[in-house]
Amino acid sequence: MSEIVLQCEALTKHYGPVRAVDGLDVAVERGQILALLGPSGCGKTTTLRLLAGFERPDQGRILLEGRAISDARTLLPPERRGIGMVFQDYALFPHLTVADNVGFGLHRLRPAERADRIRAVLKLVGLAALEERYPHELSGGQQQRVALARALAPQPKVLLLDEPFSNLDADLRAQVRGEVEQILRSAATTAIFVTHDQEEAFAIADRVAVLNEGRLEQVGTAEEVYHLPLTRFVADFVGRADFLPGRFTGDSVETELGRWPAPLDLPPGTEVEVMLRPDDISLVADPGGAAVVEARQFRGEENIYTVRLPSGRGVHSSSPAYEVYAPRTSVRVLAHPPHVVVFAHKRAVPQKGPATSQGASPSTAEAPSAGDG
Amino acid sequence: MQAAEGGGTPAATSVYRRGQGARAPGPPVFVWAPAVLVAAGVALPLAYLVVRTLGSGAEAWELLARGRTLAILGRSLLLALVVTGATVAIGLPLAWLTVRTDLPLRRVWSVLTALPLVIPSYVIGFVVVAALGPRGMLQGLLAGPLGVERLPEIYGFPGAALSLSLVSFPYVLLGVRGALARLDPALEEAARSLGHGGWATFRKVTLPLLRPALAAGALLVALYTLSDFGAVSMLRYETFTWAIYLQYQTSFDRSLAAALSLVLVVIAVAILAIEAQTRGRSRYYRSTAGAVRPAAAVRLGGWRWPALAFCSVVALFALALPLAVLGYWLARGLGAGETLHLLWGPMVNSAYASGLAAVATVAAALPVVFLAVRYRSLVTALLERMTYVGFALPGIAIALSLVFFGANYLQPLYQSLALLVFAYLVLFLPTAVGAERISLLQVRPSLEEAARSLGRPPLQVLARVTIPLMRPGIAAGAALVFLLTMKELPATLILGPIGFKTLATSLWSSASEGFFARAAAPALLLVLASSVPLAILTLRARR
Repeated sequence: MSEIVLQCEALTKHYGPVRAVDGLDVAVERGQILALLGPSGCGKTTTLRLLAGFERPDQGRILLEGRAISDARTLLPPERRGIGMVFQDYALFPHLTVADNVGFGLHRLRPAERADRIRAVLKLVGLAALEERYPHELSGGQQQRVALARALAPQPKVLLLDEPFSNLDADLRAQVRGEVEQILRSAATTAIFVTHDQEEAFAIADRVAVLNEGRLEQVGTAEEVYHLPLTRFVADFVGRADFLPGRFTGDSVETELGRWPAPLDLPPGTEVEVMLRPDDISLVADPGGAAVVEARQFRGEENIYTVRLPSGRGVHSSSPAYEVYAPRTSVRVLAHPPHVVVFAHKRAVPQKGPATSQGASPSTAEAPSAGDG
Repeated sequence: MQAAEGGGTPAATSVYRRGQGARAPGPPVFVWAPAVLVAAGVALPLAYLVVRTLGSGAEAWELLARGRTLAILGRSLLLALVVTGATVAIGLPLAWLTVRTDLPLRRVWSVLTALPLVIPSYVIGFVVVAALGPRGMLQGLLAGPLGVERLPEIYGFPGAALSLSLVSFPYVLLGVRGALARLDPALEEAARSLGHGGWATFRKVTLPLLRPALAAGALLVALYTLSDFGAVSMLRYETFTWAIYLQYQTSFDRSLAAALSLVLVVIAVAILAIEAQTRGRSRYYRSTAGAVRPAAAVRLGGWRWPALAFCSVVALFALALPLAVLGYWLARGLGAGETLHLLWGPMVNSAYASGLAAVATVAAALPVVFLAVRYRSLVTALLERMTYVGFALPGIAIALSLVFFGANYLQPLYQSLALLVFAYLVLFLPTAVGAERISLLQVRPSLEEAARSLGRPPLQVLARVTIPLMRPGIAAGAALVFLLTMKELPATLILGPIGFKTLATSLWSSASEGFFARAAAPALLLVLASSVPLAILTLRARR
């Protein structure tokens, strides 16, 4: 299963001087779920609207099953693309029943076929009993599923979902997320969804594309994006990260919290920054420890500590919920990154390797979980 | 993959139509072409008026420069000023009393005081004449016991000012009431907590926040007064509209009528420009969006009685007395052997013309609204603005322009129902556009996009999604246009086909010939018919 269904090349859209989408290349394979992840204003919704055909791109092309549906000469209108969309506000037709909403895209089918398909899709989303209801008579989660059923009914080649869970209450969100993924998987749908929530992206997507200022920063599995970020932006945006100054010494990189195998060759003495996630860092209570607990943020399943190192630098540690240290407790800090990710220091290093938008060259290497404080 | 059980390969079951097309997401031709046509058609009367006036050369300017024109201008502005002042004095306190206080029977008063809106100005004018004029009710009552032979003259300024104030104060009242209801009471509470008393709070916080609504209402009243034909013609006060009509009727050369119309149009446009500016500024005054918590009612205490007296006096003069006067003359007429079956023809004509106007206007407004709301640009905004000509043009000016144009270029249409309906369309298009605009703004664009992504082409999206969702707005627009057309007088008088009598024109001709008893029945019918759409709208809004 590696056939590319939908892909865009050098896709660009300006609004006046603002580059909402800036030379974007993304592709999604059949049956795959791709998340477009990024902060608000990164161009992810514009990308979705370009793919759906609601906006005309300024440059670049969009290929659906190898055929150009949007390029310099072609702009296929949305109704001819065969791309479904689930809108952020669901956009259910308030004057139509659930069944008529779901059947709205099935106008080319014969009535009997149409009724069958409506029933089948509503069964798929578990709303068979609510056919005759009107949208305002449904809960938020139910409306969501009707919107999904409506978009799935004509069997689109690709389904686009715009912030599909943002209109749901927090306690409902995780549950609906699971249901939606279940439905998409069982219909073997190829889908692209937009979110600003990494947890959402990780939970559902096969691959995650991180966008920033209309550009693609990185695309990969959730694990790749989290553990092996290619840019400072990805490291920062996806999960929490601290960047500790380090220095190359031959085949390893040395920091205040330890020494790890260098992931790439740089001249000895090169100044770099090493990325550390809170879950890479643990604390041990030790009256003789050089670091001091500064603050604790209780998050239920864990404690996030802010710890001041002897150098004056602060790092964050994720510790179990039951491990409680009072502020100003002296601790020992253990860092054990599973992968060593270094970013070349902006000032000090001559560029090596692929340049990035951050002007830093990221590199990674597998590292044994090693290091001590 | 149960959902996919349509059978066969994806390609075979695909319900999307295949095809290529290099179309921009701009407005489709079936939207912009009719919109352009409507805007051009609506602009025609104004354009022709300008051409005609400029074309008549120096003569018209000489006529205009005469002292008589200045006198007309002076009278018109004086009337507008006094009526505007009076309506603010009536409308502002009424609005506050009915929205913010514990006035007894508050609901009843708020309905009763808005009702004069359905009484056409010439009906009130007629009532004033029939009650206070020579051979009127009051004189009849006083002549017997007191031997009063003459009452103070009611014709002219006093009667016109009284009539117009009584019919137009609801414009101020309703605007201010809306603003008061939307006003976030937290602002006033903040002022109170900062140490200001009730009156100081009203003066420093409430009133400034109401100012845009008040200004808009006042300007509407001024515009209404300037372009009113009914009341000033009944009371023979020579402002622009009455002077234009006299000139048109009595003189063979109609250039002066055209020139006077143009002057009137210029003044009206100036007022509208000021109004637009205050409306633009009102955004800064706008309080929190959405529903706000209703304010606690102010306790009137002992002031309850003067407040009640005030409301009663307004309702008495604007509503109860006029209806009583009409009832009195109707009874007198019936007693004297007048028959009602003569009314049937005008009634049918009125309903027929109004129905045609409503359908035509609502249909013409649709493409304009689609273009302006869904394809916003400088050009489409301008196009929409052009359809607002009817706001600026007094009915008499549009009617005159169409008479000239019809007589010169469209001989077969001259004095036809079609031309009359077109005049109604020009006059009331802004109303229909306004109503439809609001309802289209409430249709989220994502609904249309959803329909497109489900494989429906633009025209089907319009027919299946957009227009059904706009139905309340379209119905409201049609009802309003119907109501306005029923009441319309000057265009109907001038453009109506020969022998085409409507309720409005038969009332007008009977009244101006002094047959008060014969005029009472169509007047009552008009008031009744005008209240039906309003009642429907009010009931709808309540639900």
